[in-house]
Amino acid sequence: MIVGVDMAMSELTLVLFTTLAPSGTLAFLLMGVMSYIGRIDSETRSRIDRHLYVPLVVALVGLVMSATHLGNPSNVLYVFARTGYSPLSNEVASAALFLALAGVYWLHSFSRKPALRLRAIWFALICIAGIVFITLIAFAYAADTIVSWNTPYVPTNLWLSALVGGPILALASLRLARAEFVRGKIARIFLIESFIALIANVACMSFQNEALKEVSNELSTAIDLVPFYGVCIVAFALLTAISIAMQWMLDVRDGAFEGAYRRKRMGHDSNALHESGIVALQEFGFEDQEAGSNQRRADCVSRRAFIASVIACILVFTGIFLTRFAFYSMHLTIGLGM
Amino acid sequence: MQYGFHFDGTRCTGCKTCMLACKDYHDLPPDIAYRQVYEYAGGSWTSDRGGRWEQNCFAYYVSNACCHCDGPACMNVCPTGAMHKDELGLVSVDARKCIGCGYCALSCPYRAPKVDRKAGHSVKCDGCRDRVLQGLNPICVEACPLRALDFGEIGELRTMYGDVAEVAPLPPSCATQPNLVVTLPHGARPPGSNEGNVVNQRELV
Repeated sequence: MIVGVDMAMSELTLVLFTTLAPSGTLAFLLMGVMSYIGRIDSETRSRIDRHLYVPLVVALVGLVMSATHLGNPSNVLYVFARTGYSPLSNEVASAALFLALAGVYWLHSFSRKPALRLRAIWFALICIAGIVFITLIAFAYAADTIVSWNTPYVPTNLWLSALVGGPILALASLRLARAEFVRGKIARIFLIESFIALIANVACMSFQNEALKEVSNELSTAIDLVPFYGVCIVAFALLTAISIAMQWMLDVRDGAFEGAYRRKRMGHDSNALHESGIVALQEFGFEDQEAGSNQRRADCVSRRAFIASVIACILVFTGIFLTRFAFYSMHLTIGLGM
Repeated sequence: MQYGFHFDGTRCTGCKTCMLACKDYHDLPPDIAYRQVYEYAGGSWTSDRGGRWEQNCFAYYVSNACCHCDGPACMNVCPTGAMHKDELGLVSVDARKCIGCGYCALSCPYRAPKVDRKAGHSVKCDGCRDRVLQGLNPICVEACPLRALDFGEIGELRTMYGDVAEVAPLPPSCATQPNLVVTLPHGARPPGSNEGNVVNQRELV
């Protein structure tokens, strides 16, 4: 019998899918929204749009991963036949809808004459499709007979994980798109949201871990299948907290520096330039006598910042991965299934 | 038409001939079995004040395969409709539609469907449909040396043997409405009683 950890190992691709797709989808929405707020110029808007491929690829990688666990992917079109009846069909249909809408939206960013009103309506549709997609992933395993999965904790955890990982991936993607205006205030909102979701998720998973003691069938008890769930929750909390702290250093503290730089520049205090505004200097396109060397230093700092941002994403996804691994390990039905 | 199985717990000795006949007939690999025999046992010894020992031990066998339920969990979750019921009421897999996602195997409380990773799709007991169409019984029923298994139209089985459809370690029948009739073995416990355990877990596949 394949049970517990072996079960999660055999469904590793699904662990990856449920780690990447919800956060990738939410990151796409958060990043996309950024192109509608405030008075950003068309160049920044199109840069954001073009870099939407980053969260899209993350979500897509998850989906492709999940397809590899299928025994016979050539029959996959039959999945749409049970849309509305099978939770899995619903999930796949919503995935297809979201990815199609998002893909076309991304392609539209390369249009020479973007249709702005249509673009806004299209994005509203993507938002609905994305939220539905995440929700349907959350409820994909809500089958009456699977007692350890058919609980309110499971969909709540999945949504909260998306709310934890989404903003961090969105900030990394926005950094790649050089959307500097998000640094500071907006980044702070993103990261506080992620942190609140982290606290809520840890609380929710802890309650779930406690409840697993009561869940059993004729062959096992759920808690015996995942004795390591507590460790996973702690690891998730630590990794995510580090990730949020890293992003905070990059996008909030740095953003504050940038504000100081701008204020000082207005007061003609050019010394502040080297200490705080190297990145801002490059990204705002300001020039001075040392522009050449500053450019090189700025490139270096911005590359380092980007790598740090990627590491922050890897940390948060590792954390979510561990909790998803535990989820697949705890599979237990009434009667004899596990 | 709805066919189903009858299991007589007062006759079964746990010899597993049913299970092996099934594996042989359907040519199943070592890690897949459509029929399983569960050994359910419990109880212990207690001593009273005078030092007199008493025991309430019990053990019995339950041979179980797919129950071709009226509310099959596997069919409800199947995303492609590959898991279907035929005109005999037997639940089976249409390999031309199955994507091998394994959701049926995850949801069935009887552990009836399995994913054959080599074949790339789910497999399960189909009630030996080809034999039934020829007027024969499923191979497990034919093979049982104790005549502990029977197969037939579920209404007839219920007339003959009663309408009990659950016994530990099987799940409660209200979950999926199995087309199963059980003649309770001596010492039978209801589902979820927690008085006993499946003591042959290492034999299960």
